[in-house]
Amino acid sequence: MHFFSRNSSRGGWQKARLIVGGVSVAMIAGTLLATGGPANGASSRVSASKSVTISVSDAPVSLNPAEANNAADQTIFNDLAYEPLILLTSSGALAPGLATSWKYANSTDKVFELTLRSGVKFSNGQSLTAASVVASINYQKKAKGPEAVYVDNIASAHATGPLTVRLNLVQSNPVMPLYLTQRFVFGGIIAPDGTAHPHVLGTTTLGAGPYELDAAATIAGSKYVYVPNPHYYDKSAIHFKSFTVEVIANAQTALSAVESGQVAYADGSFASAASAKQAGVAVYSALEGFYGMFLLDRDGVLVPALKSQLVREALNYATDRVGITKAVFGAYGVPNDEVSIAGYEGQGYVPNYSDYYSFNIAKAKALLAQAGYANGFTMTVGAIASCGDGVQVAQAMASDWAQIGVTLNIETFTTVGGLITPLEGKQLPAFMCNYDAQPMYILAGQLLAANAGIFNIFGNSDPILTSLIAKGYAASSKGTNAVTNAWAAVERRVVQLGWEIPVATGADVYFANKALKGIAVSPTSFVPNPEDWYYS
Amino acid sequence: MLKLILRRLWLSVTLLFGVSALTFVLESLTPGNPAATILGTQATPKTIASLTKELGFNKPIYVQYWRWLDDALHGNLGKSIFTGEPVSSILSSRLPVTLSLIIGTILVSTIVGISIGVASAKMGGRLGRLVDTISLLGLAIPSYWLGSLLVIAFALRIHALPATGYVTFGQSPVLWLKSLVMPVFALSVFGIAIVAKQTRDAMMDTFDREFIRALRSRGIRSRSIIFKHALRTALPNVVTLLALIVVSLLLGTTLIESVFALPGLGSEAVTATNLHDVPVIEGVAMYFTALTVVVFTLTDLVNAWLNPKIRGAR
Repeated sequence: MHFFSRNSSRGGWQKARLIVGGVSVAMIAGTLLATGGPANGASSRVSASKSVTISVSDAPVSLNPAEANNAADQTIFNDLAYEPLILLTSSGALAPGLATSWKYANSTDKVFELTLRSGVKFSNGQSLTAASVVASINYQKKAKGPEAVYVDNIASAHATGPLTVRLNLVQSNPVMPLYLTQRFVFGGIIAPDGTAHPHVLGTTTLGAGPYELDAAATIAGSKYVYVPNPHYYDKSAIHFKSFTVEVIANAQTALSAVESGQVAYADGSFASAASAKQAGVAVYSALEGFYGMFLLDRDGVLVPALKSQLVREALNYATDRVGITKAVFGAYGVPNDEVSIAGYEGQGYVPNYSDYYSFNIAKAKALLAQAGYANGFTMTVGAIASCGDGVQVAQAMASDWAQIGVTLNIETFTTVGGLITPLEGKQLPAFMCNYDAQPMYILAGQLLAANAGIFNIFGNSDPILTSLIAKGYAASSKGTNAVTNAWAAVERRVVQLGWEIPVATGADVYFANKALKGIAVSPTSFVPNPEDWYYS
Repeated sequence: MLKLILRRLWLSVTLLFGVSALTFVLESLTPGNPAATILGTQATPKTIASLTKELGFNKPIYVQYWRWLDDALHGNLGKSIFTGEPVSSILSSRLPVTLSLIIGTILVSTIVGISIGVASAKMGGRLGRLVDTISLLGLAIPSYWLGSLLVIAFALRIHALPATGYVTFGQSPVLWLKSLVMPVFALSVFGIAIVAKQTRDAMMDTFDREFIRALRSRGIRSRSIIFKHALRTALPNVVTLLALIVVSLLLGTTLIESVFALPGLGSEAVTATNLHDVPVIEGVAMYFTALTVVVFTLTDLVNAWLNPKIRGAR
């Protein structure tokens, strides 16, 4: 389960379409770990006479795009019905969606313009126009939903022509095209009737995607049935006569459903991947983010020891990342002490820093002694089993840290909501989870900024880090090398500060019937695109 | 009989009121905040507080409860905080699933359990000891574990039954039945065990009674003695037991709905609790309470029909 809004980096910019901070396709493509063939030319072989049923582990918080989050098992509900302005392909490249072209209109990346596809209609028959796009974005801004932090990048939106939209951005934003893809939800445009009467969006869909919700056949929280959008602009891209999404929370039940052929695809897990393969189920995976501990109490409010950088370094050195990764993640993880992951070189990840803190108990003890904690100390961490295998990883870390005299008490929670409350109340110095990979440009605001919500609930700041982040933002118009160097410097500083204790880069795992084709994932696009799937 | 029904109605109103209040209080003590769930983890404490106020969750608990109760007394169970869908609509679509499970389980438990109980009481000896042993096993085996085994055997190995999902009777009676076979069987094992044991013990006790000896001495046929006289005397205890089984099934179906991915009230209750969707939680509590009241009222009526003494006493 992805607890947090996922902000995947879609770093595979297509050079022919735009230059964004100088990040090249080659740089990203070389580190892709795709484990399935991308859909290519599927349309000619596709039969749209068949239906498909898949399962996800959680029901959507809301079908309203303005109230939805972009967790990996949630986006499919929007992906099917709400086509975004820009499409993120399974390889991480960008492709035209409702917008056929886009560009920055000035050198500071603060004005972004899009040209819309002509002749597009929403599922209710209303036409896609620049005005409808502006209305959708303004509604998203007003709704203040889970994706508000991204929508708020847009200071204002204007229709400059019947099919041209201009976005004035709050600050220079080199990843604006990524924000407008399906991964950030608000890029999916809502029909005028939906923005005018948003109360209907909780139980029906009003998008311009290939499918629309069949409300009569849908059972909220259990089964969501989608049928082809009769007004979709590309009929050949509709591969199924119906697309049913069932919610199966129990992982074993979901695997049984795939094995028995009742569902064609399900969210998987590391633990059951081997038995799935044995049962003849296709397993897809892509490394997607860091798993580990979010250290929050960096000023030592609850745990005085954590104020010391030496202590935080000691905790990092005392964590046996290789051993934990092997035990918990098996073949679906690699040890990593960075918040960025491989695949994001040029956007934060520093290849030779992923084992900066090589496991060294003696060094950890020496650092603790130097900090005045030779006898160790005690701290608590909050964990949920379903969030980044938090309980398991915490237990392993507790065992490691006991060797240096640090007692880690694990407070377990059964629900996400249960964990958020004490975090917001500043009652926990740390918590366990995973966080989806994305460019450091985004991570800087979401994890490291003083107002980064529960990820920096104590409002910590570091003058050097703040300065480096500012340089990173300013580097976007200075070429590839400047961007690479700036965000790499931020990553190095974060690692040195020991603000987080990442343990591994873990993978998202999916199970599917071998007859279902077109499933492809990569670190820069680790949620499969259902529009690519087909039965041949 | 009328007095009985009126008393039940009065008790049911009191029960509904009490359960709704208790549910509200317990839910308010559970960690979590629906505003935080809606806004996600990037939300600041300020935006969460703002939405909490907008949703009315910043008000004192008794004010929130009164608002809900006022609506409920006017027939409005409110709307889901997350989907905006009326609670009654959400629960009505799920009620048939849970009722199918409960009614199916009770039917199987009753027919099979009573049959085994009567047979073992009549024949005694080894069969009686076998019933005792099976009863112990039935009580010990967790239904969700049995359910998982059934899935492996009948869905994955021999592909005879579906592993998950529910098909409505209207869509296909055959598929509806197939989707219920394994879940009902998994739930019934406990019921069969306990009903068989209770029936056997009650029948054995009845066989020792004076009036049974009198009937035998008058040459009444054995079949008539067993089914017309002894079983009728033994049944009130079994009927009461079945009522308790139904109430326990309200919890048992939650686990089975998870194993078989059935969209019933139990799974909705779990989802709503995790999300702190208070109107839905209250709605589920009301539905379960109403079901309990109906079951116990029916139990009393059946017992009154079976035993004239009960009718007279009331």
